[in-house]
Amino acid sequence: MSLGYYDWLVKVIVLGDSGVGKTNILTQFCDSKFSQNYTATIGVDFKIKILNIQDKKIKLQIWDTAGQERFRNITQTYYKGAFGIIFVYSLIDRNSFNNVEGWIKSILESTTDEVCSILVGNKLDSQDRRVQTAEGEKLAQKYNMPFLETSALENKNIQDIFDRLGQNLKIRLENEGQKVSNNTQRQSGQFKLNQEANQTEQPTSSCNSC
Amino acid sequence: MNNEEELLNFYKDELVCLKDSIMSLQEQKQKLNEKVEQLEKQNNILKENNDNLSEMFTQYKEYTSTQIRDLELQLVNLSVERADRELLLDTLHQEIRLLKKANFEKEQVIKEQESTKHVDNVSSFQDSPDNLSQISQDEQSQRSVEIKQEQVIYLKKQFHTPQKNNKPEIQSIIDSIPKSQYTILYEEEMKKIKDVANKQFEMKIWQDQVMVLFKEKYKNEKVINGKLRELLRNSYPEHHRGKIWSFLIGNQLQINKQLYEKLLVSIPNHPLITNELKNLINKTFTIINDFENSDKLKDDLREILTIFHIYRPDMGYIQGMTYLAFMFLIRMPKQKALKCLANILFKSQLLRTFYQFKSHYLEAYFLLFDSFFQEKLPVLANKFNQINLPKQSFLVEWFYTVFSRAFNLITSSKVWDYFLCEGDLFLIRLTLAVLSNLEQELLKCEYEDILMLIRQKTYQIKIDELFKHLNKFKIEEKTFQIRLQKQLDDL
Repeated sequence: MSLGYYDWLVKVIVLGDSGVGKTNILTQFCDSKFSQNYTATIGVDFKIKILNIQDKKIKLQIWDTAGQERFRNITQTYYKGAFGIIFVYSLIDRNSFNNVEGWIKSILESTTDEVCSILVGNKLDSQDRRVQTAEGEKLAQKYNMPFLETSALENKNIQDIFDRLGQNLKIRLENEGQKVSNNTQRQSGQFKLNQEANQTEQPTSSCNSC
Repeated sequence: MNNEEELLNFYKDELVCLKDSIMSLQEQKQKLNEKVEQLEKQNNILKENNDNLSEMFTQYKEYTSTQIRDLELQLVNLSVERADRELLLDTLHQEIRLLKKANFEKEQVIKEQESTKHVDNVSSFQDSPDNLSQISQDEQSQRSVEIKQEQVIYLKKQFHTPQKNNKPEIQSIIDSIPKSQYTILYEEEMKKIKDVANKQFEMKIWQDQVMVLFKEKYKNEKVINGKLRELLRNSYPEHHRGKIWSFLIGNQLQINKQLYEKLLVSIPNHPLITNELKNLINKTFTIINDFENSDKLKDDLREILTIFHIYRPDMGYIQGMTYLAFMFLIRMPKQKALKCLANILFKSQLLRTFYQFKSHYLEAYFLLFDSFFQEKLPVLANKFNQINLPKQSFLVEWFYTVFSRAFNLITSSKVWDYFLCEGDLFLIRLTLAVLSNLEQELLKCEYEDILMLIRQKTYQIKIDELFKHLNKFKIEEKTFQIRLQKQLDDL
């Protein structure tokens, strides 16, 4: 599963209320599938994916968190060192939109580092919309982050989430390369990995090596 | 003057009178005071009585409720016994049915024999010169045919009036009939029936053993658990699992059908049932789609989780619970499933404190695991520490769901057998077993790959492999408790 060579390693966390589709967005993006079988995430789940942004490869270490409020104490331990954050709400669940600000604030409180965020309104496929596009845009503007409406079911705009996030990450990483290494949890491991990436033999994903 | 004196006297008299009346009034007052005192005393006594009575009443109430509980327990035992009897009855019915079938075949055999005999008779009559002797022979054989016919009629009777005690008679009749290819077929058939019966008999013995353990429950839990563990080690039929689990978990919380119904009725107007909760619960139920009766299962699951939410508002509905409730619900009725869910979340300290999100307990259990991990699998533990791997990322899920999300249903059911027998310590041992199983692969990997591998490979671990590794990690319950306490004290 080692995805070969990459330029940067970035920790990303996905936040939002329970059932808004966080896990489905990730499975669609990482494994190109959609599972009708919803199973709640208990604690956290983990995925990796290499993102190609122009000439650079960003390895995303994505932490998928449980949305239920009571798990907040457990999931908060993963906030540390996160550089990219995806806030998700459901277009058909007003409450999940109202709670997004709470999630944003929880990040602002727990990390002093500057992060790249994106706001995502999921379930664009559903007819029963409860949150208007303008509302999402307004909120995103308030916190100065990009905004997208997506459908994990129909794989609509899912890649765009990560492309947009990746663009911002790249700009930030190139500008403050040194600072980033402090942000990622295992800076020593990261550089070691960089050098050894070509030797780690993982035939399944050799396509990513360059 | 006289007048004045008279007046004076009059006043004097009056004064005396007044004095007297004052005296008497004072006396009266004193008396009244005494009376008041007395009444107060009486009142106190009455109050005391009242207190005593109410105390007696509560005692009596408790007494009756324990009696009711005992009776309920008896009822449960009786119903279990009844179910056993019914099973036995079924077996007997089946046997009777098969015997009937066999007898019918027997009849065919007899008929055939009859017809061949007849042909024999006719031919001998024609061929033999000695007619007289032949006739007597013929009579004899005819009589034997008649006897056979009687037997057939008898057999037929047996078909229509099956009785329990006619088995040996049928057997003797069967024995008296000479063997043919049909009888051979019949005997084979019988053997098959016997095999089935034997198997059922063995099952019965197994069940009896468990039942004996059930009854001995209050004598010595440790011995029983040991015995039961021995039994559980062998594979046993899935349909016993619900009963065994329910027994192992017990019912300290005294949850019964009445309570269930009461809570169920209160749902529609209950202040704790918010729309948010409804959505939350509704969303969590797609793991059961593989089951035939998935719709009913989903409804029941939703129901017991909602009931649990109002039964234990301090915990409420938490997402991992779905897995626990699901494990129970697929093998027992919903009332019993709620009983098991509530009791396991009470009985297991780990689950109880996790679901109450007592963070120091969570921390203590993680540290406790760490200490055993370091001790039993030092190489892997060092590697994990070196790369600063967040062990919680898998421990949280494994512990919250008792591995029912990590393994397939067959493996996790077996795992639960042991967990319910051995308690929280088993979860630590099992975690060690899983990691030990994957150790060689994990040692070759780096951070991300380890996290991915643990998630993917755990599901594929074969049950035999798992238990082989499990046997490597023997930890005394005492050691476990002492270390847990130490961790808690340190925090």
